[in-house]
Amino acid sequence: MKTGLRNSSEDHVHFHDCFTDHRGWIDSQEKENIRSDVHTKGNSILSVLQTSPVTSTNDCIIIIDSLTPLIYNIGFTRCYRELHSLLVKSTNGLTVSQVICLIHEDTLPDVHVALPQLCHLATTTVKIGSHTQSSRGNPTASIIHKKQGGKILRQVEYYSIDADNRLKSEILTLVTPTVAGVNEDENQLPEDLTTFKLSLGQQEKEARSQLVLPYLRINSEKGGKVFYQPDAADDWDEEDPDDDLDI
Amino acid sequence: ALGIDQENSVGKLIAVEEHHSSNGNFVLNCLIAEQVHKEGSVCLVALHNSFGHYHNVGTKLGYNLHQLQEKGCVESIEVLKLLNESLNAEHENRVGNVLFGDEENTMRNLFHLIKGKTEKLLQKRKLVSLVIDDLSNLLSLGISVKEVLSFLQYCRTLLESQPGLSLVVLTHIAEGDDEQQLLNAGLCHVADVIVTVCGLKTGQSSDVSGSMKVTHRRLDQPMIAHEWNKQNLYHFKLLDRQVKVFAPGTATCLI
Repeated sequence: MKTGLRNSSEDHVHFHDCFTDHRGWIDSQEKENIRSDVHTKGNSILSVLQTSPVTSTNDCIIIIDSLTPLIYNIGFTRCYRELHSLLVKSTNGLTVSQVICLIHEDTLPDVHVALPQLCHLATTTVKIGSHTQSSRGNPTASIIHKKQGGKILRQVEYYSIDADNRLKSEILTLVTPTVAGVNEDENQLPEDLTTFKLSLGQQEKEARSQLVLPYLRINSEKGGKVFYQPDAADDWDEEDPDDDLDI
Repeated sequence: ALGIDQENSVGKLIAVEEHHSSNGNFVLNCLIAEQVHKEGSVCLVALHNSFGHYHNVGTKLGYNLHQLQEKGCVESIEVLKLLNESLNAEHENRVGNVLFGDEENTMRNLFHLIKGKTEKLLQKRKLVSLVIDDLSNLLSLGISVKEVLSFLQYCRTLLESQPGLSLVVLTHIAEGDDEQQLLNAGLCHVADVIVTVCGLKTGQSSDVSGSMKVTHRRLDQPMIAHEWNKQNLYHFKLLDRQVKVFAPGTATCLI
């Protein structure tokens, strides 16, 4: 990661290596310490800060590469509490002005519980997504910022990183497809599609309105009535079949 | 092939994701063949198959693992045998129980074994490839995702402390298994090249064995549109002595 950052003011950036030997496996083998009750460096943010060489007591910004190993090692509750305490009180004379954490959503255990809580703790959430139609192939970032007065700022941007590791971002404007043109076309028949004549002339429209459909009777009486026309093969009997009943 | 060997894989992690109903072993065997061809050495951590299996496949691809092991170019840690020994040790209360006991100790012991072997190999040859097949089998031993991820992190530290080392890890994913998904997600986020092997969605075919997607995460190059996380999709067919790879839709019988 150090090779990725090319900054001239390196004395302002302190790297804390919590990556190598985070469980004390390498050290303890040399000391033949099989019982690893000694969870050494990097196990909690506070302990790392306590051991860090402090050159100035100005406000400092803490950047955490990935929260997932921390959550795995010390548990989510403790991690949350430490993050909160970092923001609220000062440690070892250091006042923390900002904490920036990176979370890989799919690597978190119990993400549906943990992620909303972390988002609640944060004042700014930047959600990185893959490219969409309107982002011209660039990945997108949706930003939600909660201001102190209670207002919430929401913005979606797309970004790219150039050769000098500089971030370029622009606000995403959704490209809406032109819907109006499509609606108009639907009302008209697509006359140019075939060589058949699909439209009706004036005379033909009149003839159509005058046409009486053979089996349709306009019912002017109230109530329903069944119209039945017996065929030649029908045996129509006018008598009431229930006449012989003695009721 | 497929641009993996065109890039220098030293100091990088290649992750092979094997989805259910497909076998990603061929990728490992091809990468081992590649390494042998380049006259590098291989440290094989065999969790899924025994060493004899890799030797048999290797003879078909053109390299003899037993011979290479005798020469000292190939080291192997056969976890299946270790399992057997540990079970016996546990049963008879002897020393030598490597795998059963505290989870963290298990992973630590395994890591130290690997470290020792890679250091030994690096003394002889400059290029060493550490091949782990298959990481999700550790979950089957009852070890939690947290410990396996710690183990993976320690293997990654070897990439920095031992120059000339490259890492190839295979994991299996089955749908519905959350632990495997978590492990795989954790692995893919830190990998430089991801090879995803899965079976065909519509069933099985005699002409195509499955599909393979190779994703190169170029972290050292600028992230421009469409270049970021470039993905290439291929279909492959496993034959007796080789693996044929082709673009989707261009299998020889279809053309």
